[in-house]
Amino acid sequence: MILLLVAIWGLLLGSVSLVSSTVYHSIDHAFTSLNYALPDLWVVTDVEGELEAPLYDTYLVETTSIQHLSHNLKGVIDRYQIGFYYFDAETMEEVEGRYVSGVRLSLRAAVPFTSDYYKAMNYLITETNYAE
Amino acid sequence: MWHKMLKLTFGLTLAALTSASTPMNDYAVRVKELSYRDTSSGGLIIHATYYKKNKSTYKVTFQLFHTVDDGDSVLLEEETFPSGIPSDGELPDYELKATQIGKDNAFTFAITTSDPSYTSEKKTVHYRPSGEKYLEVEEKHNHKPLNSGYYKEIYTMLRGYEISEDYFIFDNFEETVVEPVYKYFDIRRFRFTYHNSKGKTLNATCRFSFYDAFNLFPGFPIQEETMFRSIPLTIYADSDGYYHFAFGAQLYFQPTTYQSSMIYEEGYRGTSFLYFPKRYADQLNDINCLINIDVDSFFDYNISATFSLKYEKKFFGHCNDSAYCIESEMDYGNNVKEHVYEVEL
Repeated sequence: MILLLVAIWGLLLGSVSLVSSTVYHSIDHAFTSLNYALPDLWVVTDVEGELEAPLYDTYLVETTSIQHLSHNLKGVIDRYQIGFYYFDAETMEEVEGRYVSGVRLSLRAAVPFTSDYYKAMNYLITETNYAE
Repeated sequence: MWHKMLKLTFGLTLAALTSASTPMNDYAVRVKELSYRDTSSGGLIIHATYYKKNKSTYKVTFQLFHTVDDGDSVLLEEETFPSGIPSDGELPDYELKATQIGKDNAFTFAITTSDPSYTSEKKTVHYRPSGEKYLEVEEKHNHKPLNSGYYKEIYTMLRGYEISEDYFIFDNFEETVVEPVYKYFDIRRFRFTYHNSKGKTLNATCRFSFYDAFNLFPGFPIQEETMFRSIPLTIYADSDGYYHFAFGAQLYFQPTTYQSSMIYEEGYRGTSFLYFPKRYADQLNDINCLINIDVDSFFDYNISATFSLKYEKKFFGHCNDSAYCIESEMDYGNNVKEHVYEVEL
């Protein structure tokens, strides 16, 4: 009898752990796959001038990120918290305005039966050696 | 194309020869003069004048016709006075281009009136070839393709004893045009010189065409059979005397997708360049293009240049094949002032 209870308890723990792990990985996949959308979110502010460096359009970054996460996390969790911090990719200092070269994205979400998911990623637009 | 020598025998009969109707003294309005003179470009200017003989308030119509090689008459000009003519006058001079002139030409000045007491009058002048003088069109060039990087094309045109020569030097029309990055195409990069032996300025109609294999430029007119889309070009001269092309239509592009168009849509911006849509750098890295120049000179002729448009790098993409790329890294700090959004699903 005791052995049966221990086995059931073990199965329950295993199931909870599996659920937590699946949810965690779904959230992580949704967050990290955002980097495939980011390359399309650049603009050039003065298009008729010299070949200017591209910048993120912060409006596009925010709307696209939220659309992407909501699409991928629906049915997985009930809510999430997304943070945006904008900075200059060269100096790493905070920048305000519509156009920036660096963005820090952070995602926080509650995962059942375990600690919250939290991750932050920096995405910096950089000039390659070719363009120097 | 004038790619072979043409010889047309021309003769000049300078006098007015016939009058197709019998003159009557009672005409309200009469032909005063019908004549022609040569133009510097090999054409003719037709001059027709009339005078008022009697007072009449009936409708008068003047017509100038051109008949080539006994063919149909073509109406060149017509002018009508519903209440008669107030005084002597003339039709505006009509310029006939060299290419419109045949071996046997007749110019007819006809006057008709609704006045029942008068009959109409018609006068014809002939302009006929003879074996003594000839028209010769000759094209000379150095047989190098236009895309060889340097090109000189000379068109020599003789009409009678007149010689007119067009000299073109295309010095950067290459077979493969390589832009540094996949972003947009600036047509102003091409340059050429033009000189005419008679000092004429360049008069040409130009267009740029490109092969849209993937139907990525729906905002431009297309020739369905060839899938080539076209944009009209203008020509301008820079301070060094070189001629350049510029897009002759207002172009627009969508600033986030770089979709390009000749038709304005909401959110599009005006531009002087042909933008290439994001994400399609791989598909659009070898575009067949054509520049067509229709020259209106002593005679009309056409020059065309084909080239392949390529890019060294993408503007934005992977760090190993693009001018700009994204570097990503984990951020372990959390003491920044974020814009935070709570999203409920």
